[in-house]
Amino acid sequence: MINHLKRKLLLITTMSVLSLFLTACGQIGADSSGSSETESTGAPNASPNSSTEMSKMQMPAKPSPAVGKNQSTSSSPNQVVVENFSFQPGTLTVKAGTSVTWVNHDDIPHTVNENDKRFKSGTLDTDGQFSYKFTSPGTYSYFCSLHPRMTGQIIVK
Amino acid sequence: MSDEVNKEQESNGIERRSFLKCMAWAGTGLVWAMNAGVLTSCSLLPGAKQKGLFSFVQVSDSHIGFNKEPNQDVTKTFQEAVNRINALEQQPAFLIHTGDITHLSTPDQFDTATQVLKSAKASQVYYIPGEHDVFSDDGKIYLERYGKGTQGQGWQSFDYEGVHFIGLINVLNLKQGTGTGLGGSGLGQLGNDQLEWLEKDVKGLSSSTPIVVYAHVPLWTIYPEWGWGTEDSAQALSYLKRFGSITVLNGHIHQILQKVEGNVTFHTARSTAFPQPAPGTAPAPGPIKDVPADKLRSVLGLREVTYVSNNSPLAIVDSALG
Repeated sequence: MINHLKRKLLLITTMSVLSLFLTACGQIGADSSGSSETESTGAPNASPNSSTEMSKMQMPAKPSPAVGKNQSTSSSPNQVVVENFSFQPGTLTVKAGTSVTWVNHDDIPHTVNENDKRFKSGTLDTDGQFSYKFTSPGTYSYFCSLHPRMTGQIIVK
Repeated sequence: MSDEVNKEQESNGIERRSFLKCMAWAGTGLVWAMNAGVLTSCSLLPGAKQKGLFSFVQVSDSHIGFNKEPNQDVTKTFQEAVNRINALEQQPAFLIHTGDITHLSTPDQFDTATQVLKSAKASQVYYIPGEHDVFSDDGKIYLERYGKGTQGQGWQSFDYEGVHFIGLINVLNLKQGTGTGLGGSGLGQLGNDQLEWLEKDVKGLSSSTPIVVYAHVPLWTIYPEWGWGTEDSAQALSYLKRFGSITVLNGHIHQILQKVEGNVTFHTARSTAFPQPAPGTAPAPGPIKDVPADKLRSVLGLREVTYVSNNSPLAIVDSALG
């Protein structure tokens, strides 16, 4: 009886671990197809009506089918929306002298920490915002210190 | 009923009938009674008080300050968890809070948590931080409040009735990482200083010493895409593998998961604040919002762990708040 139960428990444990792996594997596929890095090329002073550049800038606002629920609700230029534990757009290109604003639309706090500590936002709770003016050209990679898998970059031309 | 418990312990095993009774007592909670991966005993029945037996309680992820769906009053549910602990027939020797005490690591949130825990009958509470307790100031306020008597950046160990307890911190100085190419893993990390300390800490212990390790982020890789794992946990566990019984208690993922690996049993605990999705079942690991108010307490909870000396069963009971 005891051995029987032990075996049964081990089997159950093995099965739950196995199903965990299966779930994980399934998700890896879904994630890689769903990850989208939208590059937005923007002049800081572009008027809302202007041309092709603007349509590029609005790209991150359009829910891509691959992203599913991961819809971005903002179309403001020079803004990065934090939503569903990701920075949208993941890469934003701006001209030197531009201020970029991050706004958190999640129910969980996030932060914006530059990898080399050139800037950090502190706590951004729901609807919290942080702005930083990029004066020097270069690539600025950043992440969320609470969820370090959340990464993004600003390319300053 | 207590006769039955004694009988179980004599045989160091469990019979199906007793096991089912134990399940019934725990209500909506889960009962695990495991020793090195094998079901050994269920010694938490009311009246099971006996010599050489002690229990402690793990609470986790109280997130004081969180006020959104599905739980706009996390202080209340945390208080309910403490009330349940106070109502246990066998009072725990101490409590362990496995982190994310607060949501935003502000002084008033820490104050509220302290106030709630003051109402616990068990006066001793051991803490380790979650990332929410340290992210805004690299752990300064946390260490001011909870760092007394700890080592390094807050890690700690102590002995109780022959069991060696080790509290590890894996939420400090997190580095960005996507898990691919350049950069880090994006997982929790212990760091070299703490690993060196751990190796020294257990050096003099007999291999028969039961070990309980507690840390916030799981010390096994559950779901790296959500950062649910610890980069250098294998190194830590390598220092412990000679021990016959290692129990690892984690929080962070707001749900019960377990894994057995050799002599190590890993357990994650429920939160007292809000549930999170099972690995990979949602676009992101944020709170599960659409929990009906009358179901909320069934997905929140606490964990009681009981240890009986001599035959070393470690019985783990996860109870829901309602």
